[in-house]
Amino acid sequence: MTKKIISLTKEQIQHYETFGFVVRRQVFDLKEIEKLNDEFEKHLVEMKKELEQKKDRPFPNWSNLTPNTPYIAGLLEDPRICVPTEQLLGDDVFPVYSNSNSMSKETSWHPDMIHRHIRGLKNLVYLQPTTADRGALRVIPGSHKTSFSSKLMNIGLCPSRTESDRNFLEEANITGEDIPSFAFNSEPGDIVTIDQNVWHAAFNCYEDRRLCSFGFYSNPKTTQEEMELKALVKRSGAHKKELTMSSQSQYYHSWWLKNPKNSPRRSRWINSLDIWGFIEAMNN
Amino acid sequence: MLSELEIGQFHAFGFMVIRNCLSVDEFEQVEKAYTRLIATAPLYTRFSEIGTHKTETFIYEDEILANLIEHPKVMEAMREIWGTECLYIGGSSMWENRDFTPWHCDGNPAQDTVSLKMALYLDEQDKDRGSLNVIPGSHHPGFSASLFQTCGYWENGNRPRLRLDPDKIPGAISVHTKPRDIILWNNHLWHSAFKRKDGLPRRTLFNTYMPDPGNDLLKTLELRNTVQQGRQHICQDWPYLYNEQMIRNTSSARNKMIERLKELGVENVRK
Repeated sequence: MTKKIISLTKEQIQHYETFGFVVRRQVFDLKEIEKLNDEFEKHLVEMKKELEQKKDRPFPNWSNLTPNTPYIAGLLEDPRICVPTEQLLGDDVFPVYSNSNSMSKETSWHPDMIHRHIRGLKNLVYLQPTTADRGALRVIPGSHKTSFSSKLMNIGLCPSRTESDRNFLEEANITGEDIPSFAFNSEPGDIVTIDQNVWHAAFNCYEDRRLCSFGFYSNPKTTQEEMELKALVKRSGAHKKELTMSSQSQYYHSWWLKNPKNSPRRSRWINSLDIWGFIEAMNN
Repeated sequence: MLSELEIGQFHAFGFMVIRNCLSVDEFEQVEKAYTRLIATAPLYTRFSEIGTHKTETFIYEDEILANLIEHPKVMEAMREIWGTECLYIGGSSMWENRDFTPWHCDGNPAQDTVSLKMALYLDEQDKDRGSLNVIPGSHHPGFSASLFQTCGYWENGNRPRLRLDPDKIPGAISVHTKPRDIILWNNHLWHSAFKRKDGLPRRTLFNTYMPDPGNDLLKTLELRNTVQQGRQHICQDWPYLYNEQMIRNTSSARNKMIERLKELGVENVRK
């Protein structure tokens, strides 16, 4: 029986703050992973049917906050997800997404955010074993720090985000795997939590790769944080278009928003999502 | 010599390798000189007493080794990296190292002051053969500070070290080099070197530099202080940064360096 691991230790928090990520092993047991896979599988089958008719969709990617994936939806409020998140980003943190995707193509090096004031993280759960040779998440430790991140941007490690024409990998004639990094070799049940400013990538991906991702932002306390969060709201609205299920017109399903058990935590989250405009951006 | 990419890479990750920097002849001469001098180098017991030898005066004792200071390819690489000439500030050492060198950075962590180290390993080095290990990007002050504050400690009160399992630092890499390669790295990069699995010592030479401070008065003072502090323990026997032998065998590059250091007010550059 897997021991229930809830809070992060002081060392784990320090590790996250220093390197931009923290790994927790065997947080979920096999039965829980089976449940995750069951819901994932059912949704993926439906997705693929829809994808066959829509050639322009890049990869299956969907919101978990629906009545079709109740178990995965519930993980946002699982203490193993939200308690460490609150330790890292504050008690008033709120979730912005709970996604599942099955991406067979590689993800090139990038940070999710380049904002320096608002803080964000995501918890990633891979439902199959991953290794450096098979789709493991890689991170550049320490790259969530401003100076390091800006240098990586300047050299063109993420060409789609640089203002110049730089493309580091092409110019250096190397692959993304040649960049010094940490590869998160994972077994189902492991969780990696990454700062959304940390540079990450995945290579050697494969068909039917399965990932559940739970993203959170800190609640803004300053004007700069507010401005950055508003920019993220706009971007989230644009990302919603990447969701490949047209039947999923609302990211935050009304079923989830109703909060039938009157969870105070979810209620607070919904309030934050509403105040900051995420519901408006993602549900319309 | 360096592409923009290589320069950017240095600034991002904190190090670079100049492959085949030394010619075959140059290397042979360096290796001969090394072998001669290391035979009489004192035992170094700061890490342990297993037989590491170190000398900091090799540049005064051999012209070939002294010429590494102003090696044109090294000077050119540093010039291109920093956009200005780099100045020798001492910090020369030659090792026959049988010890485990723990993770550390040179100087205090998270400093803004830039200094560079040049290293020549006389044998092929890799993960199992005593290579330089680095934490890429750890020279950036924010990362360095975080690393030290959360995982570091002061050894003997003033030497920065990391408490992490040396083999398990996320992202740390071993820099594979061959003889004739030169490694340049930002001195604030956290680095280490482990014992060779074949039991042989690591044969290395180091020199240290700082970018010319130009008209920046504060950086000029930093440079002066760095040279002075770095030479405190040898200045009694070797009072000048460049001794008479080095002046006799001077090159235009060396003359230029000497004049500039004097102009910047560095003390005891030459007699």
